[in-house]
Amino acid sequence: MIRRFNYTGRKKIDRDKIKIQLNKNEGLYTSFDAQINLEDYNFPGNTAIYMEARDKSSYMRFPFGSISKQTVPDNRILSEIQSELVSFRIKLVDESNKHGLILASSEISVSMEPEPEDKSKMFILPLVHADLEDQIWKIDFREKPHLMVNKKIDLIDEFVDTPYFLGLVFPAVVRLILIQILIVDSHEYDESGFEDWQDLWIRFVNNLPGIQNRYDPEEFDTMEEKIYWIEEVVVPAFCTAYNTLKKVVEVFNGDEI
Amino acid sequence: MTEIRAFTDIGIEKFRKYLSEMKSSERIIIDDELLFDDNITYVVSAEVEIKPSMFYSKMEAAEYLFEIIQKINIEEKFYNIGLWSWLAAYYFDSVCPQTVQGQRKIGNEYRYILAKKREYRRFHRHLLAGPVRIYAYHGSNAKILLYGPLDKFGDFSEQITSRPDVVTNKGLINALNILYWDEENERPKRGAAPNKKKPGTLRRFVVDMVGQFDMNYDLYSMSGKEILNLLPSEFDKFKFN
Repeated sequence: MIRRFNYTGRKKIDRDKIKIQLNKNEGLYTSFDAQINLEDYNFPGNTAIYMEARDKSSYMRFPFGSISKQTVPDNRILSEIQSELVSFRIKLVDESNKHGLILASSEISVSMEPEPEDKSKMFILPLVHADLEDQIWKIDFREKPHLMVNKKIDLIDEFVDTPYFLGLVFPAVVRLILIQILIVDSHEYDESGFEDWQDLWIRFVNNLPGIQNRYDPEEFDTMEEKIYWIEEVVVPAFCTAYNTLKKVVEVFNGDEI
Repeated sequence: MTEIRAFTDIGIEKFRKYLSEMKSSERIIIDDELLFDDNITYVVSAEVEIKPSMFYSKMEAAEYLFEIIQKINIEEKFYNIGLWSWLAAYYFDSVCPQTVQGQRKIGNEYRYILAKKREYRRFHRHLLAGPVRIYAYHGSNAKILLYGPLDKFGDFSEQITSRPDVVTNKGLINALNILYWDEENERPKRGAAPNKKKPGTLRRFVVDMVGQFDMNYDLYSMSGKEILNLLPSEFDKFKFN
């Protein structure tokens, strides 16, 4: 049999069908509430529903009954979860089959960080561990950009923290995200907006130290002007702000430049 | 026998200093002063006593200490830095045995002083807390993960314990036992965990197969035998030997 990743015809559950809310209580573990709306799908009534929560080092599993009889587990405390970004995976499982086939699934990342009062300081690029086959990283633009890294790599988080990743990957990440915002989405920048992730990103790069020209929709109107701003203004400013060259050279051969 | 204790913050600092001195060979043994001084340690439970032992395997240590830990009432017992660091100091000859020349090879600090819960990569590498947590999940089924001496992490531990969805999955651990555990010789089968990713071996199973199956099958609800039935023929040499 040729084994492909989705060789069983697994369906995807739209993320807007799942609402997850974290309840953080001072001095206690965080718990979660989940609203699961599967009315639009046509799965057998006895299909089991599981919600799995995981972070880089922990895993927890919560049964939510079946399609025909959804239940909510009493204990929804994320006692094992240790990091601030929790990935939830909902699984619809055919348990009548001896192998527990997954009929459908979806993954959602939720930050345990309380929403800051100053929304301009929101975390703008969550890191998510995923199966990327042979890719090391990619940007997932669903909902908002997430930096996906390949979970098959041991110590991937340590790798992300290295100057190599900073110098070789993050400038490309900034480039990709800005191309998505300004060229693919043609997003209209709202300088006072805090709701759209696009506005938060533009504000982030506009505030980079040493940025020569802040983004101005009037000034950077055509595609060429937008690409110029990304390539010649933002990415060099990002690299300067984060000392990418110096850090890479230092770890590569131990030399100062 | 002695009452089980935990380090205070100052005790942990003192243990850290001991480790540093041992690393530079200024010190060889752990003094009773470090272990029992009421100014830097405290009794966790007056009713629970532990015996001095030399543990020759992770499994032996985990079985004994799990029993002990069950009896004590202390906040977040699996994550309590003072407790596990004190236990590592108390059983130091097991976690860091002396060589025939009478020296000790001191490893990274987090092997002896439990890392904070958030330091996920280091946290599970504590030489006593790590095995006991695994034993708590799997009991005697943990034998394949807890094979070998305490001071050596081991191929199976290395590959499995850093993957939370694998290490907590009873069916998967059962499958590993069926596939790679040599009952007769009470050790992993030869060639099961080479450095390279060869057909049918541990890395191939954990890295490639589990990653792939997890997309399509709910491995958590499957038994070890059911998981084995999904494996391609490259695993037959371990399945049937």
